[in-house]
Amino acid sequence: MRISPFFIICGVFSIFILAFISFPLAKMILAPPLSSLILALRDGEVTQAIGLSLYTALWASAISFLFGTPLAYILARKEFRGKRFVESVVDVPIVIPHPVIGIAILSAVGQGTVMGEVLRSIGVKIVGSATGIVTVLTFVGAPFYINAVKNAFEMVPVRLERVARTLGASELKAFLLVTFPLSARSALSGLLMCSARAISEFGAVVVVAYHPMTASVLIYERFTSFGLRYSQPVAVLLITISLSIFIALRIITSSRR
Amino acid sequence: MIEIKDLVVEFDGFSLGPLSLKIGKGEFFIILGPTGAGKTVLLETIAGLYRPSKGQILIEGEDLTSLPPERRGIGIVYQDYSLFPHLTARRNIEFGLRLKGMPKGERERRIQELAQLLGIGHLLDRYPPTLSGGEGQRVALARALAPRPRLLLLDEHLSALDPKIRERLAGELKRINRETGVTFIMVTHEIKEALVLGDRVALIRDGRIEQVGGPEETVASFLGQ
Repeated sequence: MRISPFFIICGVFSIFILAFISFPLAKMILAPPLSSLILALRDGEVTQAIGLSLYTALWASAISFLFGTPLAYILARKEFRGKRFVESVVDVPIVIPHPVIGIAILSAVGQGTVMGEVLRSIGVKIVGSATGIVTVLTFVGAPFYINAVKNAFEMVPVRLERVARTLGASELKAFLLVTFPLSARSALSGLLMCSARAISEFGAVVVVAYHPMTASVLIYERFTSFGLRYSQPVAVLLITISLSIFIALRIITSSRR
Repeated sequence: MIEIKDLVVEFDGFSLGPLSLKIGKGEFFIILGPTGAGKTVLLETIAGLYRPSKGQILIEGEDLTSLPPERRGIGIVYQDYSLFPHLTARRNIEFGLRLKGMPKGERERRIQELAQLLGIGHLLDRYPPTLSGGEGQRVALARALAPRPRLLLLDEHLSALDPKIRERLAGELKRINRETGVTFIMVTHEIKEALVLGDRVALIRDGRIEQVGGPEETVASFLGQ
C-alpha cells in the first residue's frame, strides 16, 4: 500500500513527539545499574514508600468510585439549574496547580480549622498522615474517574433503562443490571486513570503530608539530599511496579470483552 | 379493560392531552398519527415512565397512575428493539422472569414456550448486535411478553424493518395478539399497519385524540385531512 505524503509528514511529527516523551524516560530507566535497583528493592524505606503510594492510591480510587459514581450518573442523566457549575467544580482539581490543592485541603481540615478540630476530636488526623494523603489523592484523582464514567453513562441509551423498568426493575436495579455493566469498561479505565494520577501526585501531597513518605516524595527527597544517582533507582522501581499493575489490569479487562 | 381518563402530560414545553380512551381486553389498538404528535410520550406515560400532571390510567378498574413502571405489569417494545447488548437473547428474555424471582426450571419452560411462539429457538445464545432487524424485533417481543404483561405497548414496532419482513411480522403480531390474549397498543404513522393490524384505531394529532373508530373510517378521516 502506498503511503501518502500527508501521512509521511504526520509520521515525522509523531516520531518527534514520541521521542520527546520516551527519550528522557528511557535514559532514566537505563541509567541505574541493576545492583543499585536490587539495593533499592532491599531498602525498607523505598518499599514502604512505594507500598504507601499504591495503598493510598487504591483508597483514593475506592472513594472516588463510591461517591463519584452517583454524581456521574446524575450528571449524565439529569438536567438541572447549575449543572454546568457542578461540572466545572468536578474539573477544578485538573486545572489548578497542585500545591494549591494541598493548601486548600489544609485550609479546610488543617490544624486550627473548625473541621480539622472536629476530625481530630474523633481521632482522624489529616496533616502528616496516610488519611491526609488519601484525602489529597481523592481530590486530584476523582475528576478523572467521574468524567470517564459520566461519558460512559451518557452512551447508554435511556431506553434500555426504561425497558428494564417495565420488566420489573427498580431504578437501582436498572442501573446495576443494565447501565453499570454497559459502562464497566469505561469505569475501570477511569479508575485506572484515577489511580495513575494518585500514584504520580507530588505537589499536593508534599504540602499536606511530607511524612509518611509516598514514593514521589521520597524520590524528591533523595534527589534534593543525595542527587540524581540516588533518586533514579526509586523512580525506576515506582514506574516498573505501577506499569506492571496497569498493564495487568488492562489485559484482564480486555480479555473479558 | 384499559381506561385512560382526562390524561394530561406536560414537560419541556410539550403538552399531551387532555385525552381519554377505553380499550377492550385482548384488543389490538392502534394509535395513528404523524411524527411529533405525542404517540411515544403517550405510550411511555401508560407504562409509567412519565408522570401525568392530570388524569388517571386504569386497568381492570385498578388505578395505576401513581404506580412505578416496575409494578404496572405493562411491557413495552421500542422501534429500535432496545435489547440489552451485554446479554444473550436468552438472558434478555429471562430478564423480567429473574426479577420476578421465578425458579430456573420455570424460567426455562417460559423461554422455550416463547421461542416456539416466535420462532427464535435458534437465536437464544446469540448477542443482540449479531441479530438482524426482524430477529431483534422477535426477541424484543419475547422479552416483553415473558413476564405475562397485562398490556403490551409497541412503539412504531415495524417501522425500522424492510417492507417484506414488515408484512410477515405484522401477520405474526396479529396471531400473537390472538393466541396470548394480551391487549396490544401500537403507535404508528403507517396507514397500512393501522388497517392491517388494528381492531380499532385512534387518530392523534398535536397531543390530542381526534377520532377513535374502526380502521377504515379512521384512516379515511386521517387521509381526508
